[in-house]
Order: sequence, then C-alpha cells, then structure tokens
Amino acid sequence: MTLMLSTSGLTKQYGSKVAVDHINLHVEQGSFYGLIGPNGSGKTSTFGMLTGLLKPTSGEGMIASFPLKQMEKIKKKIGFLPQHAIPFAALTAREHLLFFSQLKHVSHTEEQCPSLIQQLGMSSYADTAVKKLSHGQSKMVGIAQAFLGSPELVILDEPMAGLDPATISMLRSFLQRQQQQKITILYSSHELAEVEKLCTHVGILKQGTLLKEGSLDALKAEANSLTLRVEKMVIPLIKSIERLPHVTAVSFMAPQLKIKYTGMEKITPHVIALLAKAGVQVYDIKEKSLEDLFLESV
Amino acid sequence: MSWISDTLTLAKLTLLEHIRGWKVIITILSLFIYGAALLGGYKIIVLSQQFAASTPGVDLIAGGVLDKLSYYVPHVVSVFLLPLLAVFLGYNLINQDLNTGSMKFLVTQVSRTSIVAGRFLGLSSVFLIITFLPLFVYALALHLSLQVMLSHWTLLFIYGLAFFSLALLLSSVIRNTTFSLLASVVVIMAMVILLFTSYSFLSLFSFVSINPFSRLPGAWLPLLGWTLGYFLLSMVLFGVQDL
Repeated sequence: MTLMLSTSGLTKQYGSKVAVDHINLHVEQGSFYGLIGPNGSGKTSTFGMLTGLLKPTSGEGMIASFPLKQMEKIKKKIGFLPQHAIPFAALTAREHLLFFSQLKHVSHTEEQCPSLIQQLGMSSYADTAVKKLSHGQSKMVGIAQAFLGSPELVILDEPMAGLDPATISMLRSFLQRQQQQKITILYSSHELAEVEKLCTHVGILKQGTLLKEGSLDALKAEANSLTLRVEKMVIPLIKSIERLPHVTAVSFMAPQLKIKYTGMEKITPHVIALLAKAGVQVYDIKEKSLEDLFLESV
Repeated sequence: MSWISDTLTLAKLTLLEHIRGWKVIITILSLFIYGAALLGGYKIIVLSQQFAASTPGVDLIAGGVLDKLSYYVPHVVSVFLLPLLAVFLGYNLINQDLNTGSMKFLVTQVSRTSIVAGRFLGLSSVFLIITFLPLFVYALALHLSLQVMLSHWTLLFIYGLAFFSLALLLSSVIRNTTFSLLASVVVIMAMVILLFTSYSFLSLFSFVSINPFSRLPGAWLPLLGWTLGYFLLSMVLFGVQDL
C-alpha cells in the first residue's frame, strides 16, 4: 500500500480553540477518500493545512513523498478546490483556466482546457465573465482548475454543495473517470449518500478528531446491522437467526429485533425467510448504513 | 525560473484586471484634470508676465499673486493627488482576493512571495501606462522635449511607486478593503503632519517640494529605499498569515 498523503498528530489551534486535534490521516495512492463530518468538525482547517493556506500548530504530514514543510514542492503535485472561493471576476471561465495552466506550467493547455470545459459541461458559458456566472457555474470553473495539469492528488472541499442534481450526476461521472486515471482524490462532503457512491475510503471527523478511518467496505461491515419490527418472537427462532452465517449478535426488545453481522453480504433475505417460515409477521425492516454509523459517531 | 515566470504571469493578470476595471478610468480622468491644472497654471503665468511687461507699476502686486497661485496650486495638487491616486489603485491589491476567496486558488499553486511581487509589478505597470497619456498631452502643450518628458515620467513613477508599496503593505495586513483604504488615507495624512515635526524623515512627502520635479532628482534613492522596505515587509507579513 503506497500512501499519497499521511499525517501524524496534525493539529490546528486558533487561540484556545482546537479546530483539528492530532489527526492521523492515511490516503492511499489512487484512492477516492471522503472526509465527512458536520459543520465545524475541522474539514476545511485540515484541508487548509494540507494545501499551505494554514500553518499547522503541531504535527507532521507527507504529500506525494514531500513533508508539509516543503509546501512549494507539494503545490506542484496537487490541485485544490476551496470551499468558498470565486474565480477571478474580471476573467472569463476559459481565461481563468488558461491563466492557471500558465501558473501550473501545463504543456498541453491547447488540449486540456477545451477537454475539461467539454467534460464538465461548461461549453455554454466558457466565454462568459466569471462575475456573471451562477454559484454552480463558478464552482465548475474551480473544479476544472483543480484538475489542470497532471495533479497526483486533488483536494476538493465540498464540491457538490450548491449544485443541481443533473450537475451532480455529471460531476460524479467526471470524478469517477479521473480516479480511474489513477488520480488520488480527497474530498469533503455532508452528502453521505454521495460518499457511499463515490468513495473507496472514508474518514469521519468530529470536533477536530478523526473518529474512524478505513475502506468504505470495512466501515460498512462494521456498521452492518438489521432492525426489524416484528409481531412476536420466540427464543428458538432467535437461536436459529444466531446460527445464520456472519451473524454476531441478536437481541429482541418488543417489538424490535436487532441483528448485527459482519461482511458485505446482506443477510436480510435469509432472516425474512426464517421469520416467514415461523409465521412471524414483519412490519418494518431497517438496514443500517454508513449514514447511521456517521450519525452515531457525531 | 519558475518564481519569475509565476510573478510575470500574475503581473499580466493584474494588468488585465485593471484594464478591464473602472478604477483606471477614474485615475486617468484625475490625471487629466491634474494636467489641465498644470496647463492652466502655466497659461496664467504667461498671461501675468505679458500683463506685467505691458503695464509696469500696476501689475507688480497682481502679477506676483497670480504668479504664486498659478505656480503653487497645481503643484500642491500634484504632490497630494499622486499619492492618493496610488493608494486608490492599490488599497485592495491583496485583500480583495482574500475576500473573494480567489487568493485560495493562487496560494495553493504558487508561492506567496511571487503573488505579492506579481501583483505589485502588475499594478506598477498599470501606473506607468496610465501616467503616460496625460503627461504626453501636457508635454505637447508646453512644447517640452522628449527627454524632459521622460524624465518627468520617471520621477512621477518613482514618487507613485513609494505610495503603491505603502498601499500594498496595508492591503497585505488588513483584511477588510474599506479599512485598508481608510488606513491608507490616514497614513498619508499622518505623513503630512509628520512634515512639521522632528520625525519628518519618516514622511514620504519630505522627499518632495511643492514642485514635485524640483527636488525629486536627488530624492529617488530614499524613495526607492522606502518602496523596497514596504515591499519586503509586505512579503514577510503576507507570508506568515493564515488564510
């Protein structure tokens, strides 16, 4: 496993307030890492330290084999979309991209800018001044800018926020294509469903602390549980459910039957079949998701 | 090489932004008004001298007053107008990008020193360009030689540059653009007051007389020294900030 990004005890303090508290992030090369957490959990401060906007109070980090202290070298390896940022108002969307192509010393500007404009659906407003663009359109300009050149790591702070569903769908496809081209993507989101659709790895932040981190599959497996509202329950039936493969615990508190299990395979059909065979009526089924794990954590 | 190239790219952006912006139009208009004041003053001098020559005895007082007014008023305007125009152009050179967030795009791609240098270089080019036209018209009207005109142009530029660098420093350390504009004006006023104290050497105005062209040739070095000082301080203070 090669790490594109790692931090060790990374901390950011504003006066007496600790925004990021000794976090240890591990982002594998080629992965799609989602950093999730509620407002004020420290996502933006973390990204700030990783991109040179903020100076860490303590702790260390490495990006693309360079320590955070060598930020000027890291800048050449990363692309970044800030959360609240408007591209240069006096420029058109295309000019903005050409300007950053020059700053990033992109050798294939002639091909890359039109390609990004086309892939991100910006053709209709590419030659419009940025100050006349909507929030969503400005954000797309920022996202295109982040992927200019050949970044090894792209950090996106809330890329989906404020976008309409059609644009989100297009952006999702675009990001998946970028990841297939071995670009490591680290992004923050409140949209947990989005994280589940896109990410290979997830980190959960709460009040500046990294509560959980790992592959999406591992976290989902950890989160797996099934809750059913049933008409009645008898002990032999509970024993039968306990004997099902991957089931780790079964508890019943009328009318709720709660089953915990490991692995990615859904056990719901097997449980339903057992209950049906015993003549137990099921009123409601709830499978626990990453969102539940997130809500429990925060 | 990368630093120089980044700085030049940023200077080009600054030039482009100002050419497309409204501030440049106001600055050019102000400089034309200033040029017109100088021309008017010159014409009054000529007329009063002609009047004095044709009617000796009567015109000595009137001619003298006119002479002084025509000489001092335009130059007082020039001494204070140029600094005000310089800070007007530069008061939001850095903090404007911080407020819109576009600075975050820049800082994560290029070094902070090249951002400060590029912005300063770009705005200095804007000033160099926009002072040329009014001065050219003025020089034509007064039949000044090209050499004299270029000399005046250089002196104006060096004088303006010192105030640009002051505006750059303030916009690097003050986040709010309104406050940085106010702070620039307050500092300029403080420099005027300093002229009448034993700390007059701290005032950029101490290097110029009422006629900005009369003492500047000897003052270019200290003015450039202050410019460099403000510029380096801007780089250092901007470099250590959390954005």
